[in-house]
Amino acid sequence: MIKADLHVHSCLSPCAQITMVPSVISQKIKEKQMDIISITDHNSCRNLVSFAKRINGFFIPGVELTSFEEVHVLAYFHSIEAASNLCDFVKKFLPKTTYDPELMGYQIIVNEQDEFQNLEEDFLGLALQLSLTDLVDIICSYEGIPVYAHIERRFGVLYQLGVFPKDDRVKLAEARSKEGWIQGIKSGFVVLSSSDAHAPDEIGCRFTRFAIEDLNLKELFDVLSMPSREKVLSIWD
Amino acid sequence: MKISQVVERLGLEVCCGNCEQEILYGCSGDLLSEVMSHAKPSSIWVTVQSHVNIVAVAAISGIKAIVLCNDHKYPQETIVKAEHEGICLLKTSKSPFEVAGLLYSIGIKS
Repeated sequence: MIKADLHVHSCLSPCAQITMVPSVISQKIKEKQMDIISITDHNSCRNLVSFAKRINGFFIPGVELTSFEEVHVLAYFHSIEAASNLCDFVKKFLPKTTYDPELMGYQIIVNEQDEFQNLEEDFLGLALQLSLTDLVDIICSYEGIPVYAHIERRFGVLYQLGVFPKDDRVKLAEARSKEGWIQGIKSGFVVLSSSDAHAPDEIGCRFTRFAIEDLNLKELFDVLSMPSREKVLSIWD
Repeated sequence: MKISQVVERLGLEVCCGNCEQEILYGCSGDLLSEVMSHAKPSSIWVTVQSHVNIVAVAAISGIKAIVLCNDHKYPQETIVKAEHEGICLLKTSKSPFEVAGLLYSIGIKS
């Protein structure tokens, strides 16, 4: 059984604490006995390389994208290159706005030694000018796996759109509560539970158990691509 | 008041639906879960949300007409679904604030 927390923000997300740097997150993974995590910043992949170097082998490249309807969608990738290509593509759909890090939060790009490299200057907390359907199209075209994030909470698909849209390409949903988990399963999804950590102590407060013998990224990715209730177990199973 | 009267007085564009239906109330909002829990039957709904699910929300809540503001456009999918459900889709370049104010001023209350 593999324990995974597949929704963790780094210091690049404006809403996350600036202490979410590679050494701290890597330490927390050990403390909380997580076998694998995914770094999923808002609308950007610019910290993935640094985190991958630091937490080598325990890492799935990811991103949390915001659609035009302000629905959060997670996307997981088999390689950092694929994730980065998608992020480069969607960047042009991010509205340009004046951005004050003091007010709206710092967006810090770090290296694997936790050293400051740069500040992301475009505000990442905005909705991409892409409809939910188009966003899922794009994720699939970059061979990513789309997942509705925290379905029953703010910016979750149920919260924003009332009912699930009909889209067979999205097989996974992420729930925060047992009620959300039940709703997701009833609607035919395989349901993940992750922390959505914005601070170090939140890492691992929710996780998903994958019925896989050994830690093998390819196998885990295969399970995410063709998910089944037998292989994806939440904390409520 | 009939939807057609509202259309005329606010200068709205009709995208589809039967404008001879009567509306009694108004509501506004872009969070579909919020509208589902608060809208009264026979309402006209002011929003910037155009996702196809607005039609389902309208059908569930008994909303008869939707006004899409700020010059946003309905996706084809939304129009097809609305025609099927008999929901009247309207649009305007006016802001939701202005449309809500105008509706209120002609006697549509929440």
